[in-house]
Amino acid sequence: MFGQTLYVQWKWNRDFLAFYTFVAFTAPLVILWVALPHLGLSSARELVRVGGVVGIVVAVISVCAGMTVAWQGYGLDERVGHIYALSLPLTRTRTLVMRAASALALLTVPALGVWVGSVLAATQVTLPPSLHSYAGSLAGRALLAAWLAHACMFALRYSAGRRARAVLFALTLIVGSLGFATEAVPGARSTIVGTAEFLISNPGPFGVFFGRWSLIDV
Amino acid sequence: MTHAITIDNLSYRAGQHFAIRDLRMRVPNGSVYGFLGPNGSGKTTTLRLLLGMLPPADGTITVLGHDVPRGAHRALARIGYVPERLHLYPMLSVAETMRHHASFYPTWNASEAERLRRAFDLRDEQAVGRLSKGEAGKLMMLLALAIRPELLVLDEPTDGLDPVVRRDVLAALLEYVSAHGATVLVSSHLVHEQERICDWIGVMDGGRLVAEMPMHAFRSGIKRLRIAGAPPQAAAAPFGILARRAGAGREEEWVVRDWRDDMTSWFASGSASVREVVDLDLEESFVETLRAARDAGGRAA
Amino acid sequence: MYYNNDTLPAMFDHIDPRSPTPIYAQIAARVRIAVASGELATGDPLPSVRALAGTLRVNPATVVQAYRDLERDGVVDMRQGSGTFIATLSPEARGHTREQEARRLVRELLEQAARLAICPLDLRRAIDAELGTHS
Repeated sequence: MFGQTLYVQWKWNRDFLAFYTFVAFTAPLVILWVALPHLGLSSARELVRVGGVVGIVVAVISVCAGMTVAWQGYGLDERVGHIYALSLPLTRTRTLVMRAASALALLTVPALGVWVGSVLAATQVTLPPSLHSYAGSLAGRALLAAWLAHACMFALRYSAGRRARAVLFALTLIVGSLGFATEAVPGARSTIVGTAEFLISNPGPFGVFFGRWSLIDV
Repeated sequence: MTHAITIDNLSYRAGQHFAIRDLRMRVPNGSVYGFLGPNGSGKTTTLRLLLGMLPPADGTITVLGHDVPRGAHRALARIGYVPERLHLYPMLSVAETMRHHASFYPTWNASEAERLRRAFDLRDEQAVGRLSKGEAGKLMMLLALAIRPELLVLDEPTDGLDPVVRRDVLAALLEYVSAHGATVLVSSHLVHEQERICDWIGVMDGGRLVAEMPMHAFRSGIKRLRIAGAPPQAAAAPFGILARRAGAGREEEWVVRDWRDDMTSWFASGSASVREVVDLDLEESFVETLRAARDAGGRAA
Repeated sequence: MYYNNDTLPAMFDHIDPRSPTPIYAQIAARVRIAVASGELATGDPLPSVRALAGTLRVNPATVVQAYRDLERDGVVDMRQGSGTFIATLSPEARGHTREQEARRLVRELLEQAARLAICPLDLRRAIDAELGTHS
């Protein structure tokens, strides 16, 4: 059952996956290839900055890949009116778990592209002894970011239409009112900023998006 | 369990109004139960409800012993379903579709599936999205039959198919039913086809089941009478009166149900005579039943 | 083609679900006539319930009822596992079947005539006239 679900998801998503994998693989190479002629041999700061650019581009690609796979996976059933999936002898939970698991498996491919591309890109450059390349952890970050983006979009797509809209509306309200609250309530600012910082830094759930994404670093 | 499907007090709301209201239905085991009714009467909705695809507003549904929609996934493993429109993934080939479908049903019979595929003239590598209407209909019937189901739920399985494909699809269905004694619930507006294959009939109108009985009873009991002279009091008749209309000259035309041939004598008590007793085919019986049900509903409202 | 029309005897053509005669009676009548005319001989197999239901696109219970009626009247033998075969009919029995079939036809004719308010006398005159033309 899972094998067939994975096969169907792959066949439906393979063009997108191929695209993202290709871009993920070439981005580090292209960026370094473009930047190299302009870099001085000992310009460690320049190298770190270029590494950072690679990181940002890879982050964007991973998030897009994750969201696309979630969007498309649901879109397939939307196209045929959901009847087939509903007629199969599975509980809804089982269907969702298999879909999500298939997507997570498929998203390893672009992450692999990141890894191979980053490794190759780093070999183009002779790094000074103070710097190292972090191709492995960059690829790992890319995979986690893709998975997280997929999870968010998946939850949105697969929840009932009215509920999803209600959730989005509530979120917008909360974020909007935060800005207002920081001015109106004294002391609220530091709490809000502190919470936000926790969420987006390393131990927090969204830390994978906002931490150091640089390919080349100290 | 004498019934494959039992429905009581079923109600379903689509938006503001009740699409299905107070539905009671019994589909006997091993029968070929024909679902007849005009467009919009709620046939497809009823089928979707009993497959657990829609949430009922009220009532109970039991399919193959399982409560639906709670236990729907268990019942669905023994049900072959052919929907009104092609519901399969368009980017898969015929072979890939069969492999995908097979993985969800432990009772899938690969050799039978292959035999049907060859008999239906479907090629392995054809993309589902490019199949003609006839080929799509055949593939959906193939998938439904290959899992060796105990119950088949068919929604307009031959509508829009050319006569050759229609024959092939029905032949495969009836051969399977003969060999395995499966129950079939088939919804169709093709009355003459229903007449051949069904041994039970359920007539649906306006979200309600207005008639449910064995086919022979439905057909043989309903007649059109040509009455001459003054008929006795209609209220005391031993048969049911569906309609009374003016006929040619001073004759009357009565449409009756539960008629037996010896009932002509009842008319003599009022110095009337029965000039003619006409058998109605299924289509005419169906139309008269509907008309009578709507008139009764109109008067009651 | 899914099935081959040639494999079924042509005697099953034109089964009419709209006729007042039930389908099982029509099927049984065809078999009886084929036996009476010699088209079907002792031991000849009839199509399986499965094949006939599929080919005629009728409810299998209908075919079973037709075959059971025929078995009850001694026209066929239903052998578990092998199928249905024409029973051994003596020439007298065969003649008797012919006579039964003829009477059944006449009964149908009389019923139809009654529905159209044609009296038996008119009917007999019409029969004589038609027979006269054809002999």
